[in-house]
Amino acid sequence: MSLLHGIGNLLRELMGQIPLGAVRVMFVAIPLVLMVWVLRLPASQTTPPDSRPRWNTDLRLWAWVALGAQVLIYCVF
Amino acid sequence: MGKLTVFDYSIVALYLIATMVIGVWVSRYIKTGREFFLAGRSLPWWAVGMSLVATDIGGTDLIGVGGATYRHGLALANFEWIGCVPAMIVAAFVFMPHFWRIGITTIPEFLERRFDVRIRTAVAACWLVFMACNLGVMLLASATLMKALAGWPIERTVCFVAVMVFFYTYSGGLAAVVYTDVMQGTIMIGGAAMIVVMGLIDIGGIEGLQRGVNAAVAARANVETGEPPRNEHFDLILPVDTPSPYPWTGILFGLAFITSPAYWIGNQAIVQRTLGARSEYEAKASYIWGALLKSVFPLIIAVPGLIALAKFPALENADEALPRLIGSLMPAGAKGIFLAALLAALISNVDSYLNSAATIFSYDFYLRFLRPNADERQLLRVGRLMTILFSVWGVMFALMLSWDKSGIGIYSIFQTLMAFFNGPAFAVLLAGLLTRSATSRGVLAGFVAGVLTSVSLYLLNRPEITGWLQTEPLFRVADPFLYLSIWSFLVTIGMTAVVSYLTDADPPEKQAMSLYGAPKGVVA
Repeated sequence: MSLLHGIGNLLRELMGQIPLGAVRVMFVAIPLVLMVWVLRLPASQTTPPDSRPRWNTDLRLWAWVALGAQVLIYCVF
Repeated sequence: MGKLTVFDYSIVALYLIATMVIGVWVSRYIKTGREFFLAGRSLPWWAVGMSLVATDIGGTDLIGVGGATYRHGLALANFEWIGCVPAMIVAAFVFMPHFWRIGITTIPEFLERRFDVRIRTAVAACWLVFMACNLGVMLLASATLMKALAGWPIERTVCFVAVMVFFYTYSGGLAAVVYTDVMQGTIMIGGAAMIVVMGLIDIGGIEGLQRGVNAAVAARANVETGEPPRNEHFDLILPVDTPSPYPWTGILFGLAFITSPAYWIGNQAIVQRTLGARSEYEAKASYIWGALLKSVFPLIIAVPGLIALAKFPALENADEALPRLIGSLMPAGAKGIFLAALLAALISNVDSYLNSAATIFSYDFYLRFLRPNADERQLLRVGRLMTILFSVWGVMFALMLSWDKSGIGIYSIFQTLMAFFNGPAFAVLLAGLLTRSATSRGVLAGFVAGVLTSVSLYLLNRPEITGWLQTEPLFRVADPFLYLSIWSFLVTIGMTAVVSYLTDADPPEKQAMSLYGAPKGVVA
C-alpha cells in the first residue's frame, strides 16, 4: 500500500459519502448555470452581424433548448 | 446480422457511389492550400455541425455503445449528454469565435502565437503520432467489424475503405470530408432511428422495454451472485462503488470537466472544420447545432442496447447486441441501410483524422520548419502528398496490427495514447486562453510533467508492473482513462502555475492572444 493508494482510497471514501441526491443537483446545476450565462450574453454575440435579427437566428434560443433538455434529462434519470 | 441479399448490397453500393460523387463535385473548387485545409472558409453551419457529430461517432462506437449499454445500462448516455453538450455550448460562445477571429489553421499554431515554437512542436508531434496510429487502428476496427457483421475479409476491407476515403479526401480536402459527413451522418441517424422504432414496437413500447430490462437484470444478478439484483440500467448517475466503469466521479470530474472540453476545444480533427466555417456567427451556430443533435443521440445509439437486453437477455458477448437486433428486426433489404449507416460512421471517422493529420504536418512542420515561404499551391501539393502517405501508412499499420499474434495488446495501447496527452494539452491550451500570466517556460514544464504523470499512473495500474512491485493496481475501474486525464490535467496546471510564477512574463504581443487581449496600456 503506497502513499498514492492511501490518497486514492481517502478520496474514494470521501466521494462515496456524498449522497447521490446531492450529486444529481451538481449534474443539473451545470446546464442550469450555463443557461443563466447564455441568457446574459449580449445579442451582438449571438445574432448574425449583417442582417436584421429574427427570433430563429438568435443562438441563445437554441443553446437554451439544448441545455434545457439536459436539465430535464438529469432531473428524470 | 444474418444473410445479406442483393438488395442490401445495392443500397451499400448506392451509398458508396454517392460519397464518390460528392467528393468529385467538391474537388472542382479546390485550387489552393487554404481551400484544401479549411475549405476556403466557406462551410455553412449546418454542414459543419453535422460533420462534428458524424466525426465523433464511429462505426465501432455504434456497436460498442450498444454493447456497453447492454452490459451497464443508460450511464453510457453521459458521454453524449453531460460529456458533450455543456462543453459544446461554452466552446460555441467563447473559444471557437476566438480561434476563428485570429485566423489559425491548427491548434498547435495558436500555441506558438500565444507561447513559443517549443510547445507548438511538442503538442503537434503528440497529435501527429496519435492521429497517424489511430488511422491504422480505425481502419482495422472497421474491417474487424465488417468481418463480424457481413463476413468481409479483413485485408480487403482495410484496403477498400482506405482507397475510398483517400480518393475524396485527396481530391476535395476538408470540404469533401465535411459534405460527405453530412450524408454519412444523415444515413447513420436514419438507420439507427429505424432500429429503435422497430425495436420498441417489437417489445411493446417503453413499458415493454422497462419490463424486459428489469427481468433480464434480475435474472442475470441471481445467476451470478445470488444476491438481490442491483439494477442501474435506467440510471445516469451511478454511485462510487458501482460495478460498472462509470461512477459519477469519473463522469463529472474526468468526462464533463476535462475530457469533453479537451475534445471539443482542443482536438484538431474537431476544431478544424469549425475554422472552415464561412463566418464567426456560423462557427458558433455549427457548435450549437451539433449540441442539439447530441441531445438526441443517446436515444438512437444507446437505447438499442437496452432493447437488445430485453429481447436477448442471455448474450455472452454484449457487442453482439446490435447485430443480433438488426438480424432479428430488419427485413431483407433494410439491413443494407444499416450496413450503409455503419460504413458511413466508420468512414466519417477515418476521413477526418486523415485530413487533420495532413493539416498538422503541412502547417506545423512543413510550413513552420521546412519551407516557411511556401505559396498556396505548394501547400496544396504537400497536403495531397501527405494524404497519400498517411493513407499508405494507415493501411500498413492496420495490416501489421491484424497480423500481430504476440498478444501484447498494441491495439489497446494505441487506443490509450490520447489519454496520455489529452489532459496536459488541454491544460496548456486553457492556460494560454484564460490567463495572461502563464509563460512559455511554464506551459512547457507543465506539459512534460502532465504527460509523465499520465504515463506513470498508467504504468502503475498495469498488472505486469503491480505484480513486480507486489502492490495493488492504483485504480479500481478497469479502464481508468478518465482518471488519468484528471490527474495529468491537475499536475500540468500546478506545474505551469509554479514555473510561470518563477519565470519572466511573455511579451505583450504573446499575451494579447489570450481571450482578454493585450494587457492594459499596451498596444500589441
